[in-house]
Amino acid sequence: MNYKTSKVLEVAGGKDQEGQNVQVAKKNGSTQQKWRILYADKMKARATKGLDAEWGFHLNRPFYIRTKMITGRTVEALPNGNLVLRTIFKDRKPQMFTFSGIAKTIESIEYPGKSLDIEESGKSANLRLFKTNARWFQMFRIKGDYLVNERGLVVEIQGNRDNENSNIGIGKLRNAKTQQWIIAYADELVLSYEPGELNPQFGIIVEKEFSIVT
Amino acid sequence: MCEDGPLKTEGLHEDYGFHINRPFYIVTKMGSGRAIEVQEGGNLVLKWKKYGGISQQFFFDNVSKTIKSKQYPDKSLDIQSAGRSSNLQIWTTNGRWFEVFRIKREMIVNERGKVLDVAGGEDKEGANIIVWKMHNYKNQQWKIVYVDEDKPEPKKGELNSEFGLYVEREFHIVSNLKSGRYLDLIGNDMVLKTPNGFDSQKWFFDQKTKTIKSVGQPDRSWDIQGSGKSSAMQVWNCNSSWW
Repeated sequence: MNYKTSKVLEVAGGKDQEGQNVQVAKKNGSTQQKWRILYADKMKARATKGLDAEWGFHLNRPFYIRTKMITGRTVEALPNGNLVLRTIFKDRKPQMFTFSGIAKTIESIEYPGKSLDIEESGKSANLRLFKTNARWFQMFRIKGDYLVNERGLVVEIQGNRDNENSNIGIGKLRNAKTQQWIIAYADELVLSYEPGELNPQFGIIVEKEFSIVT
Repeated sequence: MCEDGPLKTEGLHEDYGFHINRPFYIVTKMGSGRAIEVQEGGNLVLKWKKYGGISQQFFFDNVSKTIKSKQYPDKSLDIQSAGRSSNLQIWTTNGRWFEVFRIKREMIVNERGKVLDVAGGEDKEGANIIVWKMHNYKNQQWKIVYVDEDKPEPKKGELNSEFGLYVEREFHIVSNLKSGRYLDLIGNDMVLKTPNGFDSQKWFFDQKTKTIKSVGQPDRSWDIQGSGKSSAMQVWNCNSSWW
């Protein structure tokens, strides 16, 4: 409370959302004006491993973001920061990410300090890597098969095809296969394929007879 | 020039309202708790109260019936230009009408009805002290704090009970809205954000300036934009004004 005007800090409009403006206003006793002081030295130590139940990721455990489409390709970060779909390879760092328990963002293993980020501060449809800033356009939760942010935008393969080098972007949730993902933790990744499955690294379906036609 | 030994106190002067020869601070009731301080040259301004600060100490002299400076005990509160100005200063004690003040309720009143007043009503560092026609607003209301009853300022880690915050102890401010987000900064602007480990979500109370500062930008304090005219909050270069 300000000592001269007795105005108090409040969340503008009472909107409990990321980046919502905070202002001063005449005291009215509403929840949007209520706060508590949490002294940093009284806080519990931050967890460094295990599942973050709110966000759906394990902490400090590298993973691949694989499409649920038949190729099982994975998201890869290019040196220019853009994200594309590529064939998965074990221990390939540009394909590996980790959830930051501090910033609540998906950070790159190959490019530490950079996270998945909706370009133009969330105004673009493109997803890329950018310096971690923990703003709303870098924060995604796992919800079922989707990676969704608080404005309902999900990570998707653009162009509706799981081709090599398909661009990764953001779209409204429409339950499309191109929006569905598997978080494959690197320490559990087994790249073997059952009979009848496509081996994406060879582009051939396992144990399925075929003819070679001239 | 300072006095050598302690003054011999003689109890309350009921007509003037001051204890005789008992040093005191003159503290504004505007809210900040700033006190009147003697500047070099003798002018009087408002400054953060300094525990034990002799430039902010005065005492009532029963001989001249004036309010004397503890730092310059041959000088008294004095309306400049022999009472023709509105400015207050300290000047060589002469006991004339423009150096004689009484406590009346919360005001310090001259016999011609002029009262001690913070110019412009601004509770800020260096605000000038004047005399003005009585209107009884907060900038004319004062508290006499006797030095022997004054409490030392809280040190690092101790509670400042007036502000309700511990000195220089980092804290977060957690919203009571459902998601329990923290107060954070985007640039200089205050916003709500999911807790993270960044310094932009950490704050501390600075005893010297009596402001809440950002751990990420420790030269900046909470600030109501537009010098208090706006409702928007930001962090800004610390000026210790009421906003």
